[in-house]
Amino acid sequence: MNDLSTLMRSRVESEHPDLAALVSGSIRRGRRIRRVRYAGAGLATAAVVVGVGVGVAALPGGHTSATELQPATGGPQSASGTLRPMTRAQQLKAVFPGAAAQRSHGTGTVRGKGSAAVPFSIELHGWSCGAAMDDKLTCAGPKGESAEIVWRPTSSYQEWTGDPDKGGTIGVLTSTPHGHWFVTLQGDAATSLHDLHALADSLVWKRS
Amino acid sequence: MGNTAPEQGEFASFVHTTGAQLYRTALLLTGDHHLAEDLTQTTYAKVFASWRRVHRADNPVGYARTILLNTFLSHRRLRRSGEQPGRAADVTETLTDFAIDGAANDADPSTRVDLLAALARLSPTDRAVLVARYWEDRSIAETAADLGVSQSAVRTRSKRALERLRPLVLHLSPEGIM
Repeated sequence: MNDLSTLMRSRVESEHPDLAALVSGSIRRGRRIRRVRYAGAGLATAAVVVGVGVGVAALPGGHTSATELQPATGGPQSASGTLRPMTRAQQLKAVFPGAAAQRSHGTGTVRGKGSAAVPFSIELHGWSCGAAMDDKLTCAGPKGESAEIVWRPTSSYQEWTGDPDKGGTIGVLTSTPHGHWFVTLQGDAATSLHDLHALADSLVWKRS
Repeated sequence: MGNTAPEQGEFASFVHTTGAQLYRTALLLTGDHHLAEDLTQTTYAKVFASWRRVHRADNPVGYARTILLNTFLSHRRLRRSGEQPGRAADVTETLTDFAIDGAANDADPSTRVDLLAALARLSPTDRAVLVARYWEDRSIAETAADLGVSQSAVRTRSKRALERLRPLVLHLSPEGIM
């Protein structure tokens, strides 16, 4: 279908954007993204510093409490509480610390063709997922929420979390690696960040 | 935050160099002038937000293209509840817009509408695969990396999309395409 290339070129080659408007609009919106990024980082850093301080004081034996799946850290935190650079997902979790507490109990389902290949199951009351499409699952919540879960090879974890357009995107949660896989979750407009965190916390990994 | 004049100058130069190509990619993906402008601007806003890192990268254009494709697919994923490929409200609006815009700007507006309408009948991911492969001339491996899918998925989607597109655009090329 080499002529599709020709066809596409002939159809759009006369199209010209308003470059001046593009520059000014992009800079304006880009500055806004930076402001949000810096503000989020500041809040998150403050929250983590407080959290680590409280944790160290309360757990002198060094016990670490962790859920099975959390927003990506870009690398594990050491037991001594050394702070690592935070991803956008971590910043969001720090800004909305009550998200995990909203988790419901019960069992959801992953149904349809390809479900055996999905490396995890969903255990969240009222949520169910459709058939797996390649490496993607679309899940629906009890109130019309919708979220897409994509499982990805652990080998691409650093690349993913290091890319601001992927792991750092607002509204995308990235898990820590679990065996061969990690997952990313993204909700639709009807899905709150709290819902997404609850869904993320409910994933139960299968043995890999 | 360090928005210096040199930084803005470098960024403006980058947009002037790459803007037309990126906008045309966005137009093929969205099929609509306004959506294409918004997608292009959103892409460049993300680029500007990380400009100090992006402009030192080996391939800033490739970085911007990947952001555009992912932004397009993310946006469509978030909106697709209840949406059918080729039947979405924005596609209908697209055809209306192009019937108006095309009549003023193009010698043969009917063919333009036909190609974009045909592309709009594909799923967003299938459309992105074809645009990456046939407009951007990306390899299967590069397309897979850009879209975050496997190479076999790119092959499958490409084949399926071409089969769907073939009957819709045959009349656009007298010599016969595909």
